[in-house]
Amino acid sequence: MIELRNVSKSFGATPAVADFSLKIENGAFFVLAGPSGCGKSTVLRMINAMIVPGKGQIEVDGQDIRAMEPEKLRRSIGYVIQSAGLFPHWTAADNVLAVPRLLKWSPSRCAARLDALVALLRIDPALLDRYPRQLSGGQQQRIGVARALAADPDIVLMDEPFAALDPVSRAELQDELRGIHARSGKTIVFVTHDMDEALRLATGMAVMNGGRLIQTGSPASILLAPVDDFVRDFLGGESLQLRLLDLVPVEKLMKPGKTKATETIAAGASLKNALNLMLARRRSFLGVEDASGKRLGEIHLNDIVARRDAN
Amino acid sequence: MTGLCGLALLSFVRRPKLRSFATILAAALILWGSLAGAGHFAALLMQESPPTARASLGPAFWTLAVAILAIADAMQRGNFVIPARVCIGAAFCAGFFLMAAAGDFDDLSLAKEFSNNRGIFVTELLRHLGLVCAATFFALLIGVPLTMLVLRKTAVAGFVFASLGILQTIPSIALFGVLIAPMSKLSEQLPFLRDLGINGTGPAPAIIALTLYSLLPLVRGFYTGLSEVAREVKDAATAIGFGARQMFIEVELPLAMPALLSGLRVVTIQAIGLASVAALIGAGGLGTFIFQGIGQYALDLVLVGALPVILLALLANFFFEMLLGLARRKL
Amino acid sequence: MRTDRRSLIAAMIRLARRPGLWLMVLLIAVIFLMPAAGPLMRWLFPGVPRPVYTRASFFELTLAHAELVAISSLAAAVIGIGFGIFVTRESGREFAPMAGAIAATGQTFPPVAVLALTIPVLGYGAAPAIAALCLYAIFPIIAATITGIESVPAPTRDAAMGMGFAPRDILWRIELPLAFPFILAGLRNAVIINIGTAAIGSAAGALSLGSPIIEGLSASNPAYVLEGAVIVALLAVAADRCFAWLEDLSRHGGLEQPG
Repeated sequence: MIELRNVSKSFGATPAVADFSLKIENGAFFVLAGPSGCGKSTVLRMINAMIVPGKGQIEVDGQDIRAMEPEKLRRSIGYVIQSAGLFPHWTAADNVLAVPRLLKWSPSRCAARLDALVALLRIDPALLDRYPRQLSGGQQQRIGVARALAADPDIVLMDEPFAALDPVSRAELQDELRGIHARSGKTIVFVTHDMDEALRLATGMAVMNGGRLIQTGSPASILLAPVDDFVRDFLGGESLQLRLLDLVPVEKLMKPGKTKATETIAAGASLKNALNLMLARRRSFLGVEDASGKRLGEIHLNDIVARRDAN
Repeated sequence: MTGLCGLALLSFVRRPKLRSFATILAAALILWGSLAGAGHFAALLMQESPPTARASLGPAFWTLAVAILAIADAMQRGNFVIPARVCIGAAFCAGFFLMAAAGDFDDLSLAKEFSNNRGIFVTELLRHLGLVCAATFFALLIGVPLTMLVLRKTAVAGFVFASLGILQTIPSIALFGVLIAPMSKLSEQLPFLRDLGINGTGPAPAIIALTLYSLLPLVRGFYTGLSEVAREVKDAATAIGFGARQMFIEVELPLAMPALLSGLRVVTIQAIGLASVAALIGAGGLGTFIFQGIGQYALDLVLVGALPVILLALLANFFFEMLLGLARRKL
Repeated sequence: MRTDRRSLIAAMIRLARRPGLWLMVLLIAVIFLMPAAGPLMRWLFPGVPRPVYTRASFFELTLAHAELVAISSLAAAVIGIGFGIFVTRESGREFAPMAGAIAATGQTFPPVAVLALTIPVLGYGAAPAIAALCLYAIFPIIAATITGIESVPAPTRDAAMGMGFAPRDILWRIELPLAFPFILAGLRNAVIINIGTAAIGSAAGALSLGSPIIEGLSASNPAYVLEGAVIVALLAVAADRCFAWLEDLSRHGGLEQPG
């Protein structure tokens, strides 16, 4: 568990973070979201003592981080930044094994760990001997994520890791990361200004503005009840209702039973996907089928429009 | 003298906390103080010792160097505008000349050496400047067409830069020496060259060598300047209907100006330094004093040559910095 | 076995393509063949009574010359790199602008003038030459070290810190390796200038390849001048090519090939 209590930090005269308190449970995929300059990166960098807070207290697993050696703390926490920050004079493999080597793991243990990471992140082994300059942005960031996971830390901090990537690589890495989080149960603290990314990944999130915490909760609860106009605007203003549809799977509103529908949609798809398909095919209802293609029931436009609460 | 050294040291240590302006004042006090002190001390010494004794600057010289560095640094930190820098520089020179005019330094052996050689000094200074100007002129004469060639035909660029690079690594004294033999042969064979005063030794081989050394920095500066004008800018200029000549004068030249000036700066400073070596082959210049001084164990004579060379280099540097500042401000 | 031999041959071809190697061979050949150059010099300069410099062997001169340059450059490297590292640390950052200004101003001082200034302080012989060469070489090395360390991309340093690299680890594993090509270039610059200045140092009584040149100039013996000049020029060019070779070797695979 990560806990920040009444943390403040100013750079010179400008306050970056003010009276900030937050609890992040173990195993959460926690997203810190907000416009640029809102202090979200500062909060992240205070967790691994890259920035020392002016006031307040930060605990990781019940231990005050001020009592720990910063280097030791950082070696136990994974860290990924926007441009990957790979070491240009090391090969991809050397980059991945940076922390294990700092921790003086044996060569055989390093090699085994490298194999495991290559499998976990589906890295093409041919890339391992290349230098960062020879990799694409997506490949670099895949190596960057592998490097953060190398020493098997319980906590991983990610500072807008996918912001500079093309949409295809970004979506791929987001899926990869979500899978890794689900399987490993690691705590991930993820900073982004991209609302779509935040909603796609988060199990819990906090919206920040001007160095303050504005709202915290599950993505759905924030979408359903934004506390003020800032959060509403940040979530997408007009298209907020559409975003909400994105969070709800079709099966939640499905009417079970037989269907004569000619067009079908997967049960796991979102209501937004369903609405999109209805508009595209000019239908007012769709059949719903499971992964094996078995028909489960129907979903109607009226039900989507009249839906009261997604959860 | 030690007191002054201590003061200089103190200002060195405490400088981070002091304001630049205060530093300049302090350094100025030390500078003038140690100069006056040196002059005064020398005068005292002269009264008691036989007239053949010499009072050298010695450690005071390093005090002066520290003070000058402190001033330069303070100007750098204070980020003064160019007119302010010129004023400060002028103030220092004025102070120096006032003291010289008042006869403060008359008993320093450096000053004695200087006044002994005053007539030759001006000649040699002019010859030095002449060597530098001639070399720069010829370097421009050859370097500009060479740059155009290298820009047009990228295939020869590698070859040209490699040969100029090798030329640049050859020590100056060696190039001067190597030129003696063919040059003297040439003037033996061709009487009209001899009539022009072109010989194995003297200014002709010196100017040739200095020109050769100037080519690499010049061509490299011009080449990077002109080849790094962004393609989009040139495209845009073509798109709005600039002709080749307009493009060069209105777009390429102004954008390349900082790199051109940097190239010229390196050429000039380098030539100022190397021209002093040319004294070894009889080309004259301030190096004459340096090598004469070394040969005759007259250490103050060495300084009479070396200090103006350094001052010239610093002045040239300052001048080009100023031009560079102007050129960059326009961008 | 076969591939072994093939790779060996390939390596030898690569080596043979290095001009630095051939220049070194040529330099050594010229040093030892110079005493036999009497007839050539007599043909070139018919009026010269003694065509070959004999006061010291050319091997001796080259060795003395190399010694001057090596000692001064090494000392300058230690001081310059050390100072460059100091001003890029947290504790020395206050001095960084000053170091930059000194390095920039120092490089505008003509090397001959620096040499001339050390003579009144240190007298004649090898000592002032070494001091002058060292003093002059410090500036480009400081400048190169600072440029090199500052060229390390901010995200790289940030990532290293975030992963738990101690400041010492960042310096030794990240900053210095990445700054190495820059430092090498600064050192190359300094060594080449020092080879030239060391020759002039013989005017102040330091034994070097400049000795025959200076003596030839003062005794109007162009043969001496040519002998010294050829060897010192070869030495400088060979040293320069060897540094170029080192620079190629130090470049990391990732930086060598684009994309």
